[in-house]
Amino acid sequence: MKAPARSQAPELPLAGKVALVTGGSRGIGAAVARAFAAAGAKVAINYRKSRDEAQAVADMFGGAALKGDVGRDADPLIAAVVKKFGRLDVLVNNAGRSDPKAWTEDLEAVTDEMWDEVLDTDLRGTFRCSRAAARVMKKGKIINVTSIPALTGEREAIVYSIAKAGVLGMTKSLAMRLAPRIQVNCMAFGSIETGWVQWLPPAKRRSYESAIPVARFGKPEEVGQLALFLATNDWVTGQTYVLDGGESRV
Amino acid sequence: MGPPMDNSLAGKTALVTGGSRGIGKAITKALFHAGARVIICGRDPKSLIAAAKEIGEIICIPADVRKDVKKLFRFIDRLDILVNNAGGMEHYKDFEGTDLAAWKSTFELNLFSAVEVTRAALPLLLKSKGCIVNIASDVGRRPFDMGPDYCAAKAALISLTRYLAGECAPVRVNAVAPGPVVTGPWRPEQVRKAASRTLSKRTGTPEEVASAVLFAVKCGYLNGAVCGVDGGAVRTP
Repeated sequence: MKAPARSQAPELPLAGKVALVTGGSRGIGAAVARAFAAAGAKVAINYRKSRDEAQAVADMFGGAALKGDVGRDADPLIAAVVKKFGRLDVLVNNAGRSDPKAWTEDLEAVTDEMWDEVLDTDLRGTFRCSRAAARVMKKGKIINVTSIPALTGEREAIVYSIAKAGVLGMTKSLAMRLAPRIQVNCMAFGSIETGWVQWLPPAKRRSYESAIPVARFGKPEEVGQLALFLATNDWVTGQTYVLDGGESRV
Repeated sequence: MGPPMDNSLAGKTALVTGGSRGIGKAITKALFHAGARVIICGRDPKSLIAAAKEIGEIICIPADVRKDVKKLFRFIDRLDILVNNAGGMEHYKDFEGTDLAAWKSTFELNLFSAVEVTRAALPLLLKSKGCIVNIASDVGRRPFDMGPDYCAAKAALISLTRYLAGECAPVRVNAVAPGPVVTGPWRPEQVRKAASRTLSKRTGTPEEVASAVLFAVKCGYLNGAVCGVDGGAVRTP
């Protein structure tokens, strides 16, 4: 008996699909955008300030770079994606503020401005983009970004952990509200090798790494693998997928 | 016939317990089509052979993971991927109706077998810097009326996963927690009831679960994670 052959070249998993990644000009957003483009999607990335960086990322895969502040410009942003590519299938709410000044355990140093800035982008932006996307998606996926402090708490990340915990709650509520048409999930990251690592003192980096069972920070490509999985599985919704090398084990 | 497109697991050896039927068979197929050399074990030789006929060149070892673990590992000298998939519900009773013998039997099938296979596999996995995927269940995250013993055994398997993820580095250990997937002769009202507890309002397919296993195997930073694949039935950690 002749054994059946292994699978033949499958169609690219996101062929014919259109994705928008907010805050896509660098780091995690850029990695997700590249992974989606490699999987066959047409990809738009959004940026707030870094136009040249965003355009350079988009040029790598023939995508579009669209300017806009997600807390304020969600509706025109989603409309621009549909105008450019004709539809929207996957939204990744990645835009978030990470001001090193806000990373402090000094409660007196937390200002109203920090509070407004972080919540405006991370929470209001995620909600407004999701609402605008849900209006135009026939079927689709919304993928949010949160991080371990939202699950475990973090003494140096008061405002940040509150915003990211809000994203967790929003993910579940939107998953319920938009089912069964749209799957809504959340990626919860530990330490990923992106821009923030530059302002991390070497000793601190070593102490972070020693708390991670796999003994290293995550790679942007590994973030891309998770985003691609969530963008292509139709029965995963309302979930929080932790990607942290085993650091939190929550 | 060209070469397999996804050859990302070429050169890797995988063991899927209970890999001949249902979700296990879909996992076997997914790993095989990603280029892995796949070993499956199960209690029923006929279903092992049927799986091999359907899938291709896989290695079948008749073994009951509750008692034949030593025998099973006589045939395995290297291992990169272990999928603890064997398990199941043997009965369907409430707490009052579940006596201690039933509890022990459920824990033997769903937890102790995975413990024993993992103990046997760990030296090989440490050598290969491999990974483990435990197949848990949504009812192990949030109990549902599937019997107290089954819910507790799956919760224990999830806890074991998180524990091992901290202790077994560089071996990565993750769980995939499927919701209701119809793999046997379910009655229509059972299917309807199962589907109604999901947000998707449908039961899942073995392939949807297998795709999560493949992701867990391939993503080198995933460790200690519980990957819910359940149509949104459970949204808590």
